Amino acid sequence: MDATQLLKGVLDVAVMAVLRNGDGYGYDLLRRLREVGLEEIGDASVYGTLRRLYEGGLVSSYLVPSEEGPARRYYSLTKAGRDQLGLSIKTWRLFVETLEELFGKEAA
Amino acid sequence: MNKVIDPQVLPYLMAVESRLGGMPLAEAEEILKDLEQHLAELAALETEPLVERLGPADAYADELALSAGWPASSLYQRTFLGRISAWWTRISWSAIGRRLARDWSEIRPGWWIARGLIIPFFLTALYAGGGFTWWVLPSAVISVLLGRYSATAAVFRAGDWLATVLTLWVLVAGLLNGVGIYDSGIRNTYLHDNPFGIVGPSGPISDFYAYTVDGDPVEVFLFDQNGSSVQVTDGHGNPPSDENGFPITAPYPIHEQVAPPGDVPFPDRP
Repeated sequence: MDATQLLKGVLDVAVMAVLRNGDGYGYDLLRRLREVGLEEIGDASVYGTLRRLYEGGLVSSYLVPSEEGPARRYYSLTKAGRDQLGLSIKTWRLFVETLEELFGKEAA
Repeated sequence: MNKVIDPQVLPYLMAVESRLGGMPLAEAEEILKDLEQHLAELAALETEPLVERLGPADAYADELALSAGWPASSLYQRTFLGRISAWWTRISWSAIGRRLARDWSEIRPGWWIARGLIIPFFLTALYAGGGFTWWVLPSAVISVLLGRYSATAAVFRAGDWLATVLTLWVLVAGLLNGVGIYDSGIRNTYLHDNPFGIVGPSGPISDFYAYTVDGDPVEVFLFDQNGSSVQVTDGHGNPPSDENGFPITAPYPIHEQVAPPGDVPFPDRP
């Protein structure tokens, strides 16, 4: 199965989960996502997702001056984003349990 | 502090923008504004060229559009308005366009003051015969306030646009009606088409001498086929004026003249 297709459906949750552990700028978030094993995520996907989350009020942003180059736009979870992440994680776990149960029955 | 943007950012950004050319202008500008910063961050962090790091710009644009919740850019209908929008975005984001935008942002306060003066000045000149108008100062103040706060509220933004449109309108109306607006009496004359007025074989005509068919001098008002008063100049591009500096428009002759200048043969009566 193509993991990329699966990932598209949960990219919002993945990005918000990374942000729950600490604010970050676009490239930093991409690196953190890849570090946990989501190697196939593209830069545009993360950037586009951040834009959508931002427009939805789930993340906020602020600029931080950088000595190495242009100012970096950091993103952080809003209260609405944290609430949404909590709901999404519950939904995801229920979904996984359901599938695990299904897979278990199929294997038996 | 402003940092130098990596030179590979803008071409890549332009290619992405081109792919997103059918998007509504406001959305495209918003995306591109932040994307430039994002790409600049990447370029500053990575030694690998952007195009190798991110892949082809078209694919990047499609992935961006999909993940941001818009239809893939390749699915956008390239309507006429979409093309205009794309061109405008392209011009806005070109090096020259952005330079002009930067310069414009610096001179905008001057423009706010200028239009605040232009509107009452031209409106008064066009419709009230000219002269000083007391509302020049409040007009300038209101114009500056509208421009200054146009980004903060829709009502200010609408007022700012209205002021700009009104300014352009009075400027065009002023040009069409003649720029000699200090004196409405010289509007609709030949000075507007030709700053030297009416030109004869030996140069600008500065006066007319009218005679009856019997050779008697008469004073006349002259109008052309459109009803515009025929206006001469003093020979230097200015309307003739009296000793107090006020323009003299009619009747002719403007200067005292009791006999035809020179030996002018009168034509035979028809």
